[in-house]
Amino acid sequence: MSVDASAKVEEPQTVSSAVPGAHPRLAQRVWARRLSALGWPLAVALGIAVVWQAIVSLELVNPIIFPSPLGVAAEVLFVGGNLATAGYILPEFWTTVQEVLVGFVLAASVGFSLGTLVGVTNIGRRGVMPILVSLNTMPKVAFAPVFIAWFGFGRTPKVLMAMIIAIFPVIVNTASGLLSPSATEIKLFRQLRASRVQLLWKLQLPSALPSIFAGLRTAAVFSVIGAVIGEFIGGGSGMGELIRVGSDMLRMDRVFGLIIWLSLIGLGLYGVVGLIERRIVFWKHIPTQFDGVT
Amino acid sequence: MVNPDSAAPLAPSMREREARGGDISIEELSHTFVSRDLRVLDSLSLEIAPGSFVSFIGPSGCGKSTLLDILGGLLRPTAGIVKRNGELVEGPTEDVGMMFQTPALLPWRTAVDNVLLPLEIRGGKELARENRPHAMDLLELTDLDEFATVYPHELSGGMAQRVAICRMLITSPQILLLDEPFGALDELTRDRMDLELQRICANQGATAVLITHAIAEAVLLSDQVYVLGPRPARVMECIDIPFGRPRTLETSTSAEFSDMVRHIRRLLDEGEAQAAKMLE
Repeated sequence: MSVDASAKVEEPQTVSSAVPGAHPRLAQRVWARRLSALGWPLAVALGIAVVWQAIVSLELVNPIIFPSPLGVAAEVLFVGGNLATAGYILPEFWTTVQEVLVGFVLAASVGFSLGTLVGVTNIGRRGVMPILVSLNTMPKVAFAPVFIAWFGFGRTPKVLMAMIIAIFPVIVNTASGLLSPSATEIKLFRQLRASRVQLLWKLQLPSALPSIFAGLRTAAVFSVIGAVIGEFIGGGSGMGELIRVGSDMLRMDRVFGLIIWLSLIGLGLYGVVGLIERRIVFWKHIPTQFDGVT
Repeated sequence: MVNPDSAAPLAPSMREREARGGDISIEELSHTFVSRDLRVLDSLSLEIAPGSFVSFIGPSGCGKSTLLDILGGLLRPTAGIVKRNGELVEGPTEDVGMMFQTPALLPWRTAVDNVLLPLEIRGGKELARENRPHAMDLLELTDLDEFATVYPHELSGGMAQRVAICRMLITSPQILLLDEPFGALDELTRDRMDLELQRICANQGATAVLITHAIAEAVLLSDQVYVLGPRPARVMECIDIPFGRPRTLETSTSAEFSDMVRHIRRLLDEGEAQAAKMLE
């Protein structure tokens, strides 16, 4: 009995899946899936907008309190135009972008380092991790006045706010990712007499990457929240300040327009992290013909 | 230590076969997991001849895997002595290759890079690069040469376990420790893998120790089958398997083969009955 026959049976499936997109029908199916992934949410959003517009048009609510979708759309265009023509919103937008980016980068680098220390040392795993988990349950927003008292009304407290809110998912995901290799994988490395550094470098870190990137994606969204909270409380400049002023003046349509542009910062950062993730953690994203089939 | 200068395949030629296998001797081996107060092995004593294929079969949880971990130097026994080639086992050594129930391939490495992992750990990327042709030879030996640059998630269960075989063989170990390597595979694939394993062991001339709870698999592959009783494991009987090699699936249809399987089945049942009586 030879194993040739077995290899031939298994061969065709794997060869075609090794080159994603090479199969015309497969490519078609992938596109159809993408379209429907986009089409459904769009349809639902459109439906909501129609109902929303109807509520406002029928004057079921006061338009000052509840702007119409068309009004919001006009404000989105206005804010966009203002940004494009370097109007008065641009420096505020830029301020917030900087706070978010610096806060995110700090959260990512400090969080990764702390998470690694927690994940690879005994004292970190047993002593520091429980403290971090309990710290994580604290409402970090409550620190905003503290940061303002310490660092004044400039950008520093806002960056710190962005960082402190964004850092926890990075730390926790890094630490838990480093601890994710299975008992068998660890046994294999021990049997091969791998050093501590080799274990970390060749097994733990690559195993942790999917989890680390999940943490970074959360951090991308959280850093925007942190920066805006800092601006709400610290004031001075930024999109948070404009939103606060807008709602004080009951310009709800303007507020919604600003919020939509603000959310683009988080969305953009999230997208960039996701793109980098797809390149680095490639083994989690290769589409195969038999997704879910082992 | 592997000589980093030799880019030549590390696999031995057939002529070297006799001298290659390592012998294992176990004296009064006992093991207790202190934290759980669980005695899993009870004064086991036996000798495994160089180049032979030996199976341990026993009920689940009897301590078979613990025995293999001890043989591999991954676990220190609480009592007793294990020697390989006359030397006391005190930790993992380079002349041993192991396989586990799951292939444990690293998903970010291609098949060939997974095969080269042991050499990369031992001597760095340089040594791995030099031995790439050897890794390709091994993949060809297991009919996987076309899949060398494919990532593990695109391999079937049987193919992945074949890559794990190649990874075990890349360092040309003298002793192969196999911890239910095909337990997770379907029966057809398992039969194929068993025959492939037999062929490879003959090729390498290595001593092989297989842990399994598939009786037919143990009889088909082994020179000796040790039947272990329930925890704490003791050798109930050592059965010599007389069939010539190479064995085929035909071998397993003979009356003598079925008699042996039935005999082992009865031993295992008796062991369990005894254990049940002792609990009462």
